[in-house]
Parts: sequence; structure tokens; C-alpha cells
Amino acid sequence: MNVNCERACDMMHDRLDGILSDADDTRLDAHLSSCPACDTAFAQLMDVDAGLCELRTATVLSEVSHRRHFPLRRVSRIAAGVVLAVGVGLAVRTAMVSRVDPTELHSAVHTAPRIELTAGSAERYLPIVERTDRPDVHIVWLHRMLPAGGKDGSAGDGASLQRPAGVTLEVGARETTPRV
Amino acid sequence: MVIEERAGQDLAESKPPTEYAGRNRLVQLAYRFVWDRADAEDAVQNALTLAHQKRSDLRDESKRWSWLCRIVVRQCFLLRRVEQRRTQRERSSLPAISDRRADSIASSERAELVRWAMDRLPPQQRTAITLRHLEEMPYDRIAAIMEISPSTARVHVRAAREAMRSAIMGRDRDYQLTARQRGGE
Repeated sequence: MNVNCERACDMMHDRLDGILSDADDTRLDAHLSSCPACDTAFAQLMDVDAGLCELRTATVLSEVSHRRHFPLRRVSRIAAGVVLAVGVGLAVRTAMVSRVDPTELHSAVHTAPRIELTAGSAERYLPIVERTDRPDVHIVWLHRMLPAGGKDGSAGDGASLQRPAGVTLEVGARETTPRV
Repeated sequence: MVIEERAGQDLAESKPPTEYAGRNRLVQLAYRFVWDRADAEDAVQNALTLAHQKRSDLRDESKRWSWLCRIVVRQCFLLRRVEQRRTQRERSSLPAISDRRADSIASSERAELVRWAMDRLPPQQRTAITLRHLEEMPYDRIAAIMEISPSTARVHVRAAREAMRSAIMGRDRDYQLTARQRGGE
């Protein structure tokens, strides 16, 4: 049974969707071989389909390749940034628990397994870990006024951080925006 | 538990949006609408905050994931409209095929052409073709997100493909016409 161009167009899309029956597949091929206009149109649709496949592959986001979590254009309050880094030549504290005050700025490398946050107030801090290009360097941003919890490798209850193995701690500060 | 179920459970348990399971999955979805990671993060953050505030509006709990996706897509279009109004004066009407923009995200010229054509689709077709081809969703899932029937979703995808084909072929003709005109100068 011959198909007309309108039916052939439907069949082209069915083929792209992978739902064309074997019989209709044969009918479509027969039509394309005898209709240059439809043959050209189907070739163009195949090109679009291939381009979409390439676009899909090219737009897969990497979980660790990005560097920026928070848009600086929406700066609204200051949060203490706790940088986990391997530091050479910096002061090293080797106690089991390191105390970090998010409201103070200081630079030190903490190697204790656990870091406790002292806020000087009842406020809780949510640590958000940001990866960097170096696998041994993590930046932890502490957000105020957020529920407790951590993500991305940090295990915290809002008032303390479990330092991941292989990294040490350096405290810094940066303006960022809290995410609720 | 699959990511959709966990995300829905997080929403039901009133977890803060920063802790939603599947947040990265939603960022991936948003990225394919706004083509900028920071914008995608913003759109998802706004969407999750909105979903968190309106979680009591959701009556059918089995449709939480589709509902979340729908809100994310809407936030993406809102973001795009804001960006387009802001850059209206700077945008040219038809970039040359040979342009290599600094923000080109695809290595192949064909993928860039497809992206260009997608960005000119009306919202329904844009959403349907993105969910079908870039997110590889079946038609019943697309229908749930867009709140249409599967057959209507199929119609939107087909219309999008045809529109993209016409746009790309039209652009090719304009390019070749321009090249011939330049050759004759």
C-alpha cells in the first residue's frame, strides 16, 4: 500500500520516536525512494535529531567541575567561610576538636577530626561544602539562620563539622547569600 | 528509593530546599533551558523555595516530582524573559553561522545550530522537545509535567522538530545568499 506525503511525514516522526512498525518502516522507505521532497525533509529531520543528541551529550553537567555555587550579585549577608585546605607553613592545631568561631576572621590550619563552631549566640550554621579544582581543597561556607545539616561530604549538625580525611581546615570569610 | 520518590518525600517532610534529594537532577533540567549553570542554580533555588511554600497546594502526592519539574521549567522561562528584556538592545537578529560565541557550549556547529533553533521555539514546543530529546523522558512523563495529554505532548514535539528544521534550513539559505552576494562584490 503506497503512502502519501502527509502520512509519510507522520511516519518519519514515528521513526524518530522509535515506534514505527516494521511494515510501516518498509512503506516509508519505499515512499522516500520515490519522493525527493520527502527524502530531503527526512534527511533534514535526521540532522536535527543528531544535533539534539550532540547537544544532550554536550550539556551534561559535571558535579565537581564547577567552582561557583552562589551568585555574588545577590550578596545579602556575610557568612564565615571555612576553607578546608592542605596548608604548608601555616599554624597547625592538633587537638581532637578544633573550635572555630564563624564570626571571627583568622587564618589557621585545623587538623582535628572534628571542628566545632562557636557562634557566641544561639544561631546555627549550615555548612555548605564547595569543591575546588584541587581535590584536597574544599571550601565550606557557613550560612546563618538556616536549619542544621550539611551536604557534599560534610557531616554536621549545624554546630560542628566532621573534617573529611585528607584535608585540614583554614578559616576565611566571604560575602555570600544564604539559601533557604 | 528512586530520586523522584525521595524528592517528593523531602517536600512532604518540609525539608529545607537546600537538602532536597534530586536537586542536582533539577539543576541539570534547568540548565537545558537557560544554558548557564549559575542561572540554572538560581532557577532551581527559586523553584524549590516556591514549592516549599506551596507544598500544601499539591493534592496528589504521587505527582510531586512532575510538579517540581513543572515549577522549575516555569522559573526557567521567567528567568529567560528577564534576561531577554535586559539584553534586548545588544542582541542581533540573526547571528552568522560562522560566529563562535564565547559562551558556546557545544563542540559541534550542528549542535549550536540546534540550540539556536530551540531557543526560538514557543514555550510549549521548547519544553516538549527539551524533555523529550535532552532529558529523554517518555511521553507520559512529559504529559504529567506539562499537564497535557501524551498525544498533545507528541504533537508539540513534532511541531518543534519541524519548526527547527525550517529555521535551520532558512538560516542556511540566508547564509548562502549572503555568501553569494559577497562573492559578487
